[in-house]
Amino acid sequence: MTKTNSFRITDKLPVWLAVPAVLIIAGLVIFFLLGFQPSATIADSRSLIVSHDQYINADEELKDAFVDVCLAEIKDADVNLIDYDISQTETGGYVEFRFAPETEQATLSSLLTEMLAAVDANAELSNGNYSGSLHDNVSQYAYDYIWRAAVSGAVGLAIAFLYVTVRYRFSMGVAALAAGVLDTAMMLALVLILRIPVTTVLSAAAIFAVFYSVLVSCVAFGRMRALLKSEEYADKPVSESMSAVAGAGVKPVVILGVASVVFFAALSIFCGAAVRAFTLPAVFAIAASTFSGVLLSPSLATAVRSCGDKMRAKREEKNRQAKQKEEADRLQKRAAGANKD
Amino acid sequence: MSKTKSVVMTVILTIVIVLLCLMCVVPEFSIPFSIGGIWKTYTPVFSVINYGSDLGGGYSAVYYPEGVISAADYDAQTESYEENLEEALRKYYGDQTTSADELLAQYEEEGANDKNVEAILYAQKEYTDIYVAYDSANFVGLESVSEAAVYLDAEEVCALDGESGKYTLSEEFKEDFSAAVNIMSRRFDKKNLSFLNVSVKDGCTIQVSVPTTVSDPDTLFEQLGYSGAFTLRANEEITSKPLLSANADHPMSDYFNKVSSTSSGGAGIVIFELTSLGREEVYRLTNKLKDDETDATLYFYVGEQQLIGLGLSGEDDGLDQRTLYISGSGENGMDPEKAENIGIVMNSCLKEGDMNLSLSVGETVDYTVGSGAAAKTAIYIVFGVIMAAMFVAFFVRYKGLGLAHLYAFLSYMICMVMFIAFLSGMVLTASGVAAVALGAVMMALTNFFIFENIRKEFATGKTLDSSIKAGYKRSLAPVLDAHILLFLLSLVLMFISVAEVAMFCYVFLFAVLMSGISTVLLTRYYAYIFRGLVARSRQYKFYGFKREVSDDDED
Repeated sequence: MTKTNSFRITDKLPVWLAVPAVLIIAGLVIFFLLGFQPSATIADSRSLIVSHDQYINADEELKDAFVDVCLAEIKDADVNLIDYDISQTETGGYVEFRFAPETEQATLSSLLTEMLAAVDANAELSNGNYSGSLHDNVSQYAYDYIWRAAVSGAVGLAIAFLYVTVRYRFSMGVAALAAGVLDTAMMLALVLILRIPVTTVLSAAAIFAVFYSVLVSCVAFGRMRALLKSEEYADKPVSESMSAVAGAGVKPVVILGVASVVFFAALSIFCGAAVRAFTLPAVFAIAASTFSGVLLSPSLATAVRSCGDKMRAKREEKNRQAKQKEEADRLQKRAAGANKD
Repeated sequence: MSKTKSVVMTVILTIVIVLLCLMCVVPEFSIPFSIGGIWKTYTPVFSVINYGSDLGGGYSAVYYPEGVISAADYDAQTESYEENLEEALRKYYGDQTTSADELLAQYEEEGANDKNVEAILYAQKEYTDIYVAYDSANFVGLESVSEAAVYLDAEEVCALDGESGKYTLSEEFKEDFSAAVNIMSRRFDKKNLSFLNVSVKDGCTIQVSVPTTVSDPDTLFEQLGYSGAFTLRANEEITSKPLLSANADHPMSDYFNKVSSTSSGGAGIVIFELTSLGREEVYRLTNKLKDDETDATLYFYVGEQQLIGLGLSGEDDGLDQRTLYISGSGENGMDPEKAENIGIVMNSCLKEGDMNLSLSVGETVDYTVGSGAAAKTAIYIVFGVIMAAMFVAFFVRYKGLGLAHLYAFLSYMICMVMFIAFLSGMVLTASGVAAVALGAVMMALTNFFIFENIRKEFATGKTLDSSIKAGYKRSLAPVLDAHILLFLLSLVLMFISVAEVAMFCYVFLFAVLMSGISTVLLTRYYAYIFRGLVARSRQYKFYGFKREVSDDDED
């Protein structure tokens, strides 16, 4: 049984639509003014390469000692290290330490001198030849990836629309499609507004948003569909019934959202920048989809259904009037014929 | 199920699941005997997993345009001059003890003139004069920088700034380099790798990073870096005049629509789609070649690289086809990887134009991300803690059903680890971790809703059997809908998308599949087995359900 509270989710559709509209507009403004905040892994960066020719033969302990010596110097220099790669080549090995592009070249230059001195002072490491160099890196965007991800998202939403329309109702299909678009847009808007550093992984996170939105739509509309089939709503007009059961999906959608947010937030907090690049936008996607699943999608589905009902009623009324007119004309003609006779 | 059967099945299931869990996590150890002469070391499943570039590492290489050399190459060359000079000086003075610097000072002081020493000094000076250390941050050439990353040929790629008296990159080089960066980005984009990073290093070199799944990174880096014009030639002499090349009237895209690749029976095939004009030209050329020579071959070149040849020995006449399928055989055999690379490079010549800048690829580097190990450990810990919390919650609320959920969830996780470790092309990236996590959440929540439905059915006074049946029946439609739809989406999007998105879909495809199987089949089956462990009258209590007894009944 559904609770019949005075507050009906479906009555507040303009409010539910205003939330994503505000977010998306704010996101668009920031996008055109500042663009996305590129993460250090894809943004321009400065790097220091420290190489050692005995690396190839070195055991793990020697490698660790080499990296530790360099890391200790970076810590002392108090510069912001983004990440580092440990590389192995046929002639030796090197470590590339990446820093933000605004790091002073002079700072890195003196840091490199300190690093080489520290390696020299280490009895274990000073046997080999070691050298260092400063680099500037400018990342290239993989436009093809982003384009293909956008096409994938569009195809995914089209499939979801078709499936939900066939298995549930047309109005629900429209609502699922709209929710998918809005959830993904809201996620991107939040990433823009909060200036979250992004990598090309954001395109995968956008696809995650589409998937999660579809999942939430299935859960919410599944509950609504089950209730609509019950005897309680058998004789009532569909749009009225939909409005009454719009809140049916709240509990499962919220439970799903809370469980997902906890999991993904934990991954974002504890698992480093590489994982965070995906999971933090995913948390926004979950929040956006939960909002849609609880408030927006059921209201939208009901509104679409009501709109459809109204149009159908209008069409029927028109047909009825046309039939009446036809009947009247026919009678008039018959009367005229009788008069003639 | 009888109690004995239940006990036996529970024990077997427990042993299997525990063994599989151990297979995943037990650290590597040496086996005291060899199995089939191969297995001498036990390797845990976790260590077989291929990690993506964000969690593990990959291969990278730097492309140096003509006129740009690495500091290492510069140092090696100058070192070689110094060694030769020392040798020549020692030979001149017949002195093996004095240092090279002292000998050189003496040589210059005396104003001596030895042919060998002079030749080396001349070559050394010329070399150091030609190359200037390059500091991209200031965009000027520096006279001497110990930390310089690259050295530039002052004549070939630099222009002298009249005001500062320092070298800058010439406009012509900048233009060609910018075009080369775009072309290289697009070529690597077309490889559909699970990870790709193309960056401009030091303002004048291109660094490309690819994942460890690339089987032959050296070949990939070499072949995708081919530069020069796309031409057709009659023989293997690069000095010969091309039979067909771009001209003022017709670029090569007027002759070829597209170059792509496919594979058949393990062999790679390059496909050339010709335009009407191209068809006529190829017919004319091959006809002429056949007239000149019986065993003629039409060679396809990019720059100075001969990429593929089309033998015409089997043809009576010229080739008059809309599409050419070329596959190598014997010594010229071409694997699908090579065919794909050739297709990408030639198609890039058609679509993006020729790459004028000649690039030489540096050493392929195998790199690991410094923070990768810590990230992996953190992922395992987060999964472990959340799983433990979930199991406790399920046990407290559903007891026996919670046990069934535990076994089903472990089955899900074990299968996912096996899929990721052993399925071809599977790489675990951050998006893959998210896919497994979303699948896990789906699975847990689906079981939660099914159990709640069973509880509700039981509360209406139904027997345990009929409550379970009704509970599953009630849940089946939404559960199947969600799983089928997400499975379909993953499957379709896996083929449309590339890189991280494709990998996310690939992992999620199995996550959804396993989530569906685990909830609808495995949990129910495990619950059925575990029920048999307790007496029939106590089974509902074992599931954590309470029979509400009315006051009348109590009386």
